[in-house]
Amino acid sequence: MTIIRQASAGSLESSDCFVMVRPDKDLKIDLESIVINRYGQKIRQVILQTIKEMGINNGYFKIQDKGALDYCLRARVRTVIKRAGEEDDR
Amino acid sequence: MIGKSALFVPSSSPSMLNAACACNADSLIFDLEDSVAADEKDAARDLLKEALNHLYIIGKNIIVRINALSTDYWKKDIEAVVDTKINTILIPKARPDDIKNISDLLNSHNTNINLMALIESAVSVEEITDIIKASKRVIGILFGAEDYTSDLGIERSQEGSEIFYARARLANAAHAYGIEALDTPFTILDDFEGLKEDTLKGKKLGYTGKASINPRHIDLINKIYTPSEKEVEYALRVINSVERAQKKGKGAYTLDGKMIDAPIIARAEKVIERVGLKGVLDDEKCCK
Repeated sequence: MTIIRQASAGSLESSDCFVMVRPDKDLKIDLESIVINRYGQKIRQVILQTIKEMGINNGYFKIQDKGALDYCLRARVRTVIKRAGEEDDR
Repeated sequence: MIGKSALFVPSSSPSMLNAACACNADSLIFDLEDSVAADEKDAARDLLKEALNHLYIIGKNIIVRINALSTDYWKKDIEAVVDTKINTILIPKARPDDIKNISDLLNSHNTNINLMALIESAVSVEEITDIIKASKRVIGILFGAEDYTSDLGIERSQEGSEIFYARARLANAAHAYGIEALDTPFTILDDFEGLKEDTLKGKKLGYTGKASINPRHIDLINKIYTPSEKEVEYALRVINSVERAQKKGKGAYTLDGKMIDAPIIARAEKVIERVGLKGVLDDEKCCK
């Protein structure tokens, strides 16, 4: 799967995260989180693992985390990748 | 078993999904329909699937309300949750053919997921027996009074006389076919006196539980649908008296001056089943 357009998913509400992706020649993850000091590394790991599981090797990902649990991070990344690729099923 | 209370949870909201796990409802109804905007259906499916696979939801029945079969969404909804730990799919605006179609689809997935029919139109009320008989997967019905009154083109009142016919008919049909019946949610969020009155009305008609859109309604609904200590004690005395009467060869007899016969015994058995003592009694009988 490839990132062919800019897309976003999620929200800035508590327990959620807002994810934006756009095409890029490299894979870049720009993470902001209200718990970055304590969980930043773990959050980055969950995001990267989900991106790889979806078969994505490049794209610029900007994540604004408002305390999302792992399942929510995974879901938002999955949705944004599908919306940015050919699988947009809205 | 759907139980005494079922809470609607919007599948698009992580904070509400997280909070639902801690509420006291017997069932959670994760909603993909009315509470999710059309352009967020895909995100809600992804979020719900991940939540069902990773959140600890202990001791609750998990129900998912899919979108109506008249939309383009329902097949994707089922695909998203069919391999998760859900127990039941709630079908909105249910008609007999909808039940058959979804049942056939579930058969092809070789799953034992049950079905529940949301009855919210005049035609569905009239078709209720066909809806229940359309599949052996149907374990319950839920009355949706908001859409029902909208379908009839009438205003819904708090006192509820305009929904009496449909409400009573659905409860009766559910009992006739031995399935559970959930009463319509009470939609005024902070009126607990009104909630109590409305819940008691449903219970008197024969509903086995009530749905809710407010977690703060759940404790009162549970309290009303849980048999009282007095009811349980009397039911146990009735059950215990049956064996003694049988030994004396009596079909009908008296207990505390009241006649005890088959309907009274059946009601006592339902009370015992509802408080979860049936297995205990069966074990005791085995040990004697």
